[in-house]
Parts: sequence; structure tokens; C-alpha cells
Amino acid sequence: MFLENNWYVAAWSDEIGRSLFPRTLLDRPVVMYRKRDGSVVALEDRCAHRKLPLSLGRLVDDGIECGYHGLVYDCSGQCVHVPGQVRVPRRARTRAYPVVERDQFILIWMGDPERADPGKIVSFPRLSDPSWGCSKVRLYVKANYLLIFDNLLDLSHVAYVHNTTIGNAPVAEDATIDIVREGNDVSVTREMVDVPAAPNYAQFGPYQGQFDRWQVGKYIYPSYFYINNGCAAANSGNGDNSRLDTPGEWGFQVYHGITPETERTTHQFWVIAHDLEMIEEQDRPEFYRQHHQVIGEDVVMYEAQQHSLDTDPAGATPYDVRSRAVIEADTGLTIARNIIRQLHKDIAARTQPADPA
Amino acid sequence: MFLENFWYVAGFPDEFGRKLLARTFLGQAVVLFRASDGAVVAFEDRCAHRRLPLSLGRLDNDTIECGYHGLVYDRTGACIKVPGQERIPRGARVRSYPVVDRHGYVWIWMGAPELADEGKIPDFSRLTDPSLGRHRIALHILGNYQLIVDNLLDLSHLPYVHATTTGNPPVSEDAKVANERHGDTVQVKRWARDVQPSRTFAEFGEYRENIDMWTISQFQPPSYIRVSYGSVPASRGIPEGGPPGDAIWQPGHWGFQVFHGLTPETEVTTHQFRYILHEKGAADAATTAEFYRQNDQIINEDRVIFEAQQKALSSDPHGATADDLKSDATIVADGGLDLARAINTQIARKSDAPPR
Repeated sequence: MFLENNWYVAAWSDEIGRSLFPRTLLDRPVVMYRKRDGSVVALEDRCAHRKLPLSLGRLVDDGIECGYHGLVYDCSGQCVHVPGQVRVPRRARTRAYPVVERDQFILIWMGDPERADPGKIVSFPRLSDPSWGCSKVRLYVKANYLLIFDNLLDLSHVAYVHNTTIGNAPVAEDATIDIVREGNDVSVTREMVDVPAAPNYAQFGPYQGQFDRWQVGKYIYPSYFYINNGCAAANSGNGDNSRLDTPGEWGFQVYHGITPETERTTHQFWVIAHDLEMIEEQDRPEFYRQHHQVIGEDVVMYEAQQHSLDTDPAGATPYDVRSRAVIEADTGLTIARNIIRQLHKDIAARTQPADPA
Repeated sequence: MFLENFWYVAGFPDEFGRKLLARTFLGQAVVLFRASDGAVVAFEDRCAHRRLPLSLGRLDNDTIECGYHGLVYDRTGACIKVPGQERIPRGARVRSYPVVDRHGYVWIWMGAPELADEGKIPDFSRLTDPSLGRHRIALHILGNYQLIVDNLLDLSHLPYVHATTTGNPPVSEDAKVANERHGDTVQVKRWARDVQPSRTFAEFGEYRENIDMWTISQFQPPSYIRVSYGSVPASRGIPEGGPPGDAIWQPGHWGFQVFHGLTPETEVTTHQFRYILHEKGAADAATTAEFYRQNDQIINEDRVIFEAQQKALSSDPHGATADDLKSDATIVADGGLDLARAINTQIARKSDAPPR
């Protein structure tokens, strides 16, 4: 089940141009393109006539000509021409989805168009800040989106999955954890005081021995993550939590836009961003490479879990993992899953037919 | 349909060492390794926490550390450490499976653990007889195991599938067949007298004249199969009624035996672990190597058949399956395999029966 009445990342801005770009989002095929004025259009990728994907057709001015029988649709999805006949059938239209372009993302509203309020869009201004650098990738993940949420809400895994780069044992063993729920958002703060620097921090940051380190991971409803990573000299915190929202002496941020493709596959839009001053230009390719390795290691986990769940003899699923070992590190992901489960229940209750009795 | 309460072959002993091996048996994902005392350990390949396969983790002494959040399991499958917390959640364990290393195979018990009796492992002791020569092969077959059992209990297929090695027309056209059931054991004896030898028999038996030849296939549920091939010159032939009852280990002038460990992986895939045994005789290394090559060719010819059948069944418009082929042409040669299928079906029915 998907939470449709929200903005989701449909693509990177630079993926969409003057050609037809197909992508399935929340189980529905969408075709995207830019009009001549540069604005982005998203239409249901299915001709009203014989259901051919319109993405197999041809961009004509600001509309699409179907590749099968030449029906032409304008950018609102209305059919405006049927070859060989004058009359355009009344219901000949394909659905248009609201889209907004912001911070390198194309955002799409798959739900009720009347409720599409651009005020609800989550902004990531650092991604369009010229004093910041970034590296990004879209990962095509063969797993349910909730397995990705779990991963990002419990960063203790960094110690095991990413132990050649950003992880070492203290991340799992010695972190102090603070979890806060605000509305439908959940943030998990992990602070490690006077611990050895993990390889990626030692290589690119100012501390090679002991240091203080923090990860503040925020789940932003319905499908975004923002993780602030920082560090400072060992034992320099003096009980002051205000540093946790900053990079401290050295750090970087990670953003995720996570859009279900189907119940079993997910588009993960991932960006690492940093103040240009934090990482020297000549170091950036290797710094980025290590972080791309990190996210690739996570994909291995999600997909292995999905396969394991698909063959689970007890019938566990990504929606109900049936864990027999609920551990303290699960607290954040459990809160987020409860939020999502409740919203799914609310939707199911609303769509139930009224009891005739 | 899987028959769970049996010992199944998990692999050859030297496949298991100080590394994690993932393998699926009867639809259940299993991780295996050899502990420091030499015993093979097997447990559910799924962390109790977030279901990551444990085979993606790390073997540390005789424990597995999960590759995701570092939970540590001991060799019994009990979780003994959760990083960052003192308390181990109750129920944090994965299922462990009984394993026995015997007769050149590692055996695993996927059923109810309290029924796992080592005495039920079939007597394949001949496989470790040092006086015999042996050759083995492991295959991953994209077909249900019953299709393989069928194949081994009806060797009339030899002239068609293996026409360049062990098969020639007399094996199907001129042979007499006797199917016998003793308890849960099925024996199919097939013999032909005064016939031309097939290529393999002529080459390695060094025959220039006609022979009497026989095959004896023995089945025990769920999928333990031994097949014995024997032959003698026609001039000192076997009785009209076939080779004597105990001929299964008597190759005559020339023959060999084949043992199969068939373990369902899923309903549509099977692990096949196969040994050939033969008397060492005077054959030189090149001749023996050619004999083994022909055997590997044979099993790969069979594989093509199994996989093509499975594909045909998976897309059958009338809903035929490997458990119920809905054959429109039941023939006399099916007699042995029909007995074996009836035994397996009966066992499955019994285990499905509601408790009284």
C-alpha cells in the first residue's frame, strides 16, 4: 500500500529534457518531458485508445503523438487529434500529474490532484547552494521501500555493513541514542564521545585518533531522509547538544528521496552534500567513491532481505517482518513503521464500503 | 510436495569448511559451515532480527556475526550478543538443523528435530569402500526431484537419451523388466540376453561379441537411488529369468554402480549429488578418465530432459505438475516409477493426516 497524497521524487532535474522519459511510480506508469518553456509535464504513460505506453510515441511541440495510431495529446493529457476523423471522442484523455521542480528534484503528486499543495514540499536548500558540493545517484532497488527506511533509522548497521569506510565498532557499541518524534517525522541522534575515527573520517577529516562523532538521521514524512554527520575533538562537547545540528569541525550531509516503484521495487534518489571548504577539490572523487560504495553495500542488504522475506516459511513480509529479536536499536524504525501502519489503516478504513446494516 | 522427515544430502563433505555456505533445501534457506571440531553446523539462513541471510555475515570461531547489525549466534543458533545492549531478547534464535557426515555425503534433517534418528540414514557405506574407484558430480537441476526419480527407475530411456554411450535399441526393445516392491523399497530389474553391446559396454567391457546385460535400479523413499549396471559375454549368459536377486553388487564381467543423493531445493529445482563406483581393474588412467567423461555426459543429457519436462509442466494448460503429470500415455515401462510415486504419495498423506 502507498501513501498517495504526498509529493514524491520522480526524477533528478537533469534526467528530464526534450524527450519522452518513462518511469513507474507507486505502481503507475508515468511519462515525463519538458515543454519548450522548460517546465516539466508528467502524464499517465498509457494511450486512452489501445493502452500503448505513450513513451513509445513522439514529442510534438508540447504534446505527445502516440506511436501506434497517432492520437495526439496536449500537456494536460487531453486528446486533441485523432488521425482520419474530425471528432475527438469525449473521454479521450490520459491523466496528468502535478509536478514541481525544486533542489535538483522533480517532485510528483500521484494522489488526488485537488489536494496537491506545493506548500507541503520538503525543501533541501543545501542542494542548490553554490557554496556546497554534492554527488548523487539513483539506485534501482529490488526491495520494498520499508526495508530502506529501516536501514536509515538504525545506523548501528554502519559498524558492520560499512566497516571499510564510515563504520567501526563504536558506532554500534558505544553510541548514546536520542529519539524524537515530531508529527509524522522521526529523528534518531547517535552521539559517540571519545571513540576512534572510522577510516573515511580519518582519511578526509581532521582527526586520525580519538574524536567525538555524531549522526543525526531524520525521517521526513512520507519518504525522505536527511542525515547530518559531524565530528569534533574528543571530549569537546561539554554537554552542549547544539553542535549536533552542525558539521562541527568536519562533516557532511546525506539526503534520500525514496519512491516506491512497486511493492517490491524502489527508486532511491541519494545525494551526499558538503560545504566546499570541508573537502579539498582533489580529494572529492575518492571521497565520493567511498560514499557510493556505502550506498551500494546497503542495496545488497535490502535485496537480500527482500529475497529472504519472499521465501520466508512463516509468511513474513516487508510490512510485517515478524522479527524474533526486537532490539533497542529498532526503536526509531518501530516508531516510523507505526506511523505508516496507522496511516495505511486510516486509508483502508476510508475506502471500506459502508456497512449496509 | 516435500517429505520433510527424512535425511537429505546437503553436499559432499569437502564442500564444507571454515566459511559460510548458503544452500536451500526443501524451500528453506540454510547456512552451513564446519565448526572447529570438524562437525558440520547448519542453521536457518535468516537473522531473527531483520531477516538478513546470515550467510552474508562473518564466521568468527564457531559463531556467526550477522552482516547487518552484528548480532552474534552460537553454533546452536542461539543469539548470544546484541551490540550496544546487555539484554538478549527472548526468542532471539534461529532454527538449527541436525547434520551427519556419513558415507561420503553430509546429511541434513529438515523435518521435526525430535524424529531425527541417525539410524534412518540409508546404507550407502559402499561409497567409502577404499577398494573401489569413484567419480562424483554435483548438479543444480531446474526441475522437480520426482522427474529425476522417474528417470532412474525407467532406464528404457537409454537408447534415446544416451544413444552414443550406454544406450542402444535392445535396452528398450528386447529387455525384460521385473518390478518388485519390498516394504518401501522398489527394485526395477531390466535385462536383455544375447544382444549387441552399447558403445560404453563394448569399449570398457572390451566386448567383440554379443552380451547379456542388466540394470537394477533400487529406490527407497524419498529419493535414495542406487543403480547397478552389469554384463557378461552371451556365451556364458545369465538365466532366462534374469540375473540373480543379489546381483545388485555383482557387475559380472563388466559394470558399475551409480548412487544419487537427490535433494529438493524448491518445488521446481533440485540438488543432485551423484557418485559412480566401479572395480578398479586394470584400466589405465586415460581409459578411466574417458569412462568418467561419458558418465558426466550422460547426466548432462538427463539434465536437459528434466529441465525441458519441468518447463513443459510449468506452462501446462491442463495444470499438470511434477507431482501429477496427468499422463495421457501410461506405458508398461512406468511400472517401477509408479510404485515409487505411490510410496511417496502415501507417506505425504500420512504426514498430512490430522493428529488423533
